[in-house]
Amino acid sequence: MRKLILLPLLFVALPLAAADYVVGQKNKEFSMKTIKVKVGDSVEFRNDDPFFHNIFSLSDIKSFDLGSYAQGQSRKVMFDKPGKVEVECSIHPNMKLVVEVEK
Amino acid sequence: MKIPYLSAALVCLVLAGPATAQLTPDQLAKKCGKKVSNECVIRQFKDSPEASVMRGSIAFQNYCTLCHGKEGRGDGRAARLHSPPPANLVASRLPAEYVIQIVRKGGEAIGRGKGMPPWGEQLTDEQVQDLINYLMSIRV
Repeated sequence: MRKLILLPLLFVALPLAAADYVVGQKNKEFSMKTIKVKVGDSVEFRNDDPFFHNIFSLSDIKSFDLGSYAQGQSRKVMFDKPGKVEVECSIHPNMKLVVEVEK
Repeated sequence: MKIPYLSAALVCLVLAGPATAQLTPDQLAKKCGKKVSNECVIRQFKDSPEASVMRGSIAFQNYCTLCHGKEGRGDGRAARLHSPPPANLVASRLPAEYVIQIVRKGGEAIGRGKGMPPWGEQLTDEQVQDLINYLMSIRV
């Protein structure tokens, strides 16, 4: 009986194992050029600059637009498919980040 | 960087008369020779409307084409991310002063679409004015 109760709990707990990562934006650069995450993990994009950033991706496996947000604010994205996701800032075209999503 | 349709824009400005243009073909030829380059106009006639439009075009290519497209028709590569879609700036009839507010403050701050970021901290007042002059020049 106890096993029957624990089994569903195990499946509920699995998604909670997904990790959260933080990528900063400072001096019009991402805090890293590449980040490796696993499917289900999330990346929080935190604006450490005293001006707006607008992070987006046009990648087929994960396209998103986080909109404009000011210093101290952040936006989170969950990556649900494996592959490479190229992330950019629409306000600062030189900002580039690659998120490598592994199975 | 040579932006092809700038030459056409320049011709339009010159032909449009004194309200929008100050440079005559003679003036241009005297300073820039037979083949007038954008760089020469910007350098030799920096306070002219023509130079402002050219600088605005460069700013547009750097910051705006991602969503608005190379010709400003709202068909940039990131347009598909936005709803409402980016404005077709060629067809726009919004007053220049209102467009300045959109550029500086972004869409959301003035009750429009959230997709347009605020550029007021990224662009100088001169760059915004140059951009507006360019946007006015591409309207049909």
